[in-house]
Amino acid sequence: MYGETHTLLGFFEKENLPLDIAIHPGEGLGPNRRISTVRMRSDNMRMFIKMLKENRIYYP
Amino acid sequence: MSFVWKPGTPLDEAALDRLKQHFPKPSEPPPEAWFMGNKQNYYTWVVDTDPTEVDYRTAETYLQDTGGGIKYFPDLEFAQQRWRYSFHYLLPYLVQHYDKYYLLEDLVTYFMLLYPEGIPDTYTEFRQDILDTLGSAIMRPHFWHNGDLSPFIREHDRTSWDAYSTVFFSPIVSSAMYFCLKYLKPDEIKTWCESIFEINGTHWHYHLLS
Repeated sequence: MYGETHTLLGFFEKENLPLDIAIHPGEGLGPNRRISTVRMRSDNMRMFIKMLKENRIYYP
Repeated sequence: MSFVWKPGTPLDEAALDRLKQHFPKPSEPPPEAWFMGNKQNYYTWVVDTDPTEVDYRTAETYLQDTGGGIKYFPDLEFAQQRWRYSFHYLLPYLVQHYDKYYLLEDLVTYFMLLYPEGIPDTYTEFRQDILDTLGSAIMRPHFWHNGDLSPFIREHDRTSWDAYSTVFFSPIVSSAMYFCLKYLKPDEIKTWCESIFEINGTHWHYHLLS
């Protein structure tokens, strides 16, 4: 999970992102990689990244 | 309301019961999604068999076939209606009865195909019931052993494993986490993150970081 989100860290730290963001999980999700795009809230990802950092799971 | 993951937590029985009450057995069977020729077959077991009595492969085949239909045939209104309803009916039975983790992955990603915009208020407790069942199923006792992911969930024995092109992470852990990142609210993300960082298992950390 960290590996999949690592490349997104910088992106989600940008200011003025739209609330609704589409991301592409590295290996896809589900059988036959059925889901290649997941729409989610940018503030959710920002909070997730903040928590990764606070818990020292993030490294630059 | 805070949402946390705690290893060894069983599914919420009250939530499962509410889902069963709100989505009783359909009267008409869902059609198959992918077929060749003029005749389209139907999944009659959905309406004439107890979902907990169908074998795992039958359930898996159904979810993979109709899940593809949900994604690729959005204009088939009649089929879409039956597929969508049948999933809601089957969900509490399949998530409870089958302890194969990759069926859980099928259920999680099927739900994400059905609800790309968020979880609707189908009934008052629907969102919470989904979080307390599908969203928490990765924490079921069967998937954990001594505070870490169980050997069971670490076995990569899915016959279609090559579909993922990797054996370095468990697809269900990834799917379950994306499920939460997608459907939780920002304040719920905080408590959920705190709970997943408190899990100390070596294999859990490996999957979290891989």
